[in-house]
Amino acid sequence: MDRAKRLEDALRDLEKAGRIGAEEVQYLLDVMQQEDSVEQFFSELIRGMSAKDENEMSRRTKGLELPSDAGWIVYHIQTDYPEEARELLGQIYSDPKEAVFPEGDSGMLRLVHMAADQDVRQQAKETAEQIVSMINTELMEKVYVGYSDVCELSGLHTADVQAAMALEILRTFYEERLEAGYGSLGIGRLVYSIRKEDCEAFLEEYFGAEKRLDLSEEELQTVNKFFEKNLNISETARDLFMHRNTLVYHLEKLQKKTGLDIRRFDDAMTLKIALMVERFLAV
Amino acid sequence: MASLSLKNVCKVYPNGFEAVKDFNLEIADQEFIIFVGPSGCGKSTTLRMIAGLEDISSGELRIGDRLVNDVEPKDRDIAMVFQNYALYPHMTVYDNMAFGLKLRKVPTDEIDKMVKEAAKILDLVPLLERKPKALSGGQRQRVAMGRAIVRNPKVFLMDEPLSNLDAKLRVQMRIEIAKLHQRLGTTIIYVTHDQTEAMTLGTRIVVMRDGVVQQVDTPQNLYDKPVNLFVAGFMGSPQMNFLDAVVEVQGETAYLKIADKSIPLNAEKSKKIIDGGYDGKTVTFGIRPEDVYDSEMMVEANPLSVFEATIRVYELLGAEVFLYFDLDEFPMTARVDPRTTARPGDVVRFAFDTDKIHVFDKETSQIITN
Repeated sequence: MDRAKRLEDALRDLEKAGRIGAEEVQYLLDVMQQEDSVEQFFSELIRGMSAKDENEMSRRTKGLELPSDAGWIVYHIQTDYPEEARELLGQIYSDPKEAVFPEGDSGMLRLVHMAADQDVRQQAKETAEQIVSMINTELMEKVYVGYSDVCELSGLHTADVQAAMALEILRTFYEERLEAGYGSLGIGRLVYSIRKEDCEAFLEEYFGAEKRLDLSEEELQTVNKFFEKNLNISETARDLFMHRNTLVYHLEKLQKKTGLDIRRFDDAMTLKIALMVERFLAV
Repeated sequence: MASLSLKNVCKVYPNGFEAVKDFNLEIADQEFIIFVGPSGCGKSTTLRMIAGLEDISSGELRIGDRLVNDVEPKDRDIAMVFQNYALYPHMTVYDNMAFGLKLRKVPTDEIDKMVKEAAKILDLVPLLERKPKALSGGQRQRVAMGRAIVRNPKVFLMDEPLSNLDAKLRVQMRIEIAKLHQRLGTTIIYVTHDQTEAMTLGTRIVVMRDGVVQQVDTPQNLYDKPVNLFVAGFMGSPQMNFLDAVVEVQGETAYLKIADKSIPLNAEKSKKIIDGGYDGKTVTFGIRPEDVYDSEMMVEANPLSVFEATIRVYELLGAEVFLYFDLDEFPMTARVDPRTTARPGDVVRFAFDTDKIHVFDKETSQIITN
């Protein structure tokens, strides 16, 4: 009798312990699923899913405790060591409301990050610079970052396209830079949006059937410096360590070659765009 | 520890932008070298080429005797500290310093040894178990440096590491970095746009502009003997006063005519002006604010360089006063004793220390005589 009672008690204790254990496991599972879900949710939004159904959006946003009125920024991170970079950035951007995850098998990383309340542009730029600094210092690896404008959660798909474009334009036109935001791409964004056939037609119109400027390294250096110095002959000559008359001679030679007198603003602008178009077509 | 050698190093991007031109520099073991210059002058690009984070377009880079142009950044035995550092918020100070080593698969006992040694050097031992939130700005910066120190590199590269700190903390950290250099005895290359940081930290300073090295020298020599107008204007705050002057030569003495005054130059300066064929030409006259005096004693002692001017602005900084005025329509600043009685609107007699006059070629901006 006593033995049977003891066994019954033991069975009850076991059931109790089992329930507690099961609850613990379920809790851990919930937490893990919730973490996974933020990434999953962002990933789906980026692919253009979920955002179509407002009720579903609202339910998941609430369930994941994501602030519905916040702004979001997507960062595209290009590095040769995406796994290590993901581990590293995951430690910095470790808030459950943000996520670092790979973009398919492209080797690219994405960070979806909540935007600051104020001074959003500057903060976004600083975050991009921080990503570069951390990968440079901790992994000693090269890295480039493109990032979007601020968007709502439902706009993550568009933001992702912007971040990808920012990175591509950065690598095409602004090789001296390591990060760029979609909103700060200047004329590069404009050139990038022109159809390639139109670009070729533009080059052909100005530079003939070869569609090439064919500038020597020295000519390119002179032109770039002249643009950098806002078409100022004296300052350009000083920086190039040449007499201003020598510079004028070089510019006149360039005019004969290209038909553009870049001392005139319109011609300077045409050559600047032509150089960018040529670069765009070469990449 | 290591020496570095940069020979004819250039950086040209495929779009034609020339960021660094023909950079030549020999850096001795344990030197504290500063790259200074305005934004876009190529100083960070040069640092990144040394790190291997930018390819070198042409030229040679050696660390010790080893040519490292094509060596991967992680195999160059260097460590970097940037201004935009981040600490891992959920890790302790210890783990923050150890994380980079863990990523590199360094054995745990070695990591422990390296972290504790670095913590000792940086006075971080009592803070090792704290999280970043519980640290002050200066302590966080030290942790960021600790992450570089644990690697025990041959060369430290620092890119504006103090730029994000407030003015007071910057001064403190400047002293910390100077102490750190003494303790570690390692070669440090430090990039800044702040000439005060450059002057106080560097054993030698490289002044850059538009990708070109302007001058490499000790802080004192850069200040006293700038090679051109840019260096003269960039080093020193308030900056050197510049005004146009016409050279007049009488016998073996050269005079600089400014505001109806003819200021005689000493024999050494006169010779350089005369030998350079500047008689009758307009040159740029330069004088540092501390070499312009308003005290009666100095005015009496330098009667040939005395002139009168009306004070526009009086600025008291505690230990010194800056007086702002115009001379021959050129804006001037004098750094004078705080006991001065000069105030805005007063007509004051000033004198130059003629031995401290710098004369620059107006066309080339190069120095004629210091």
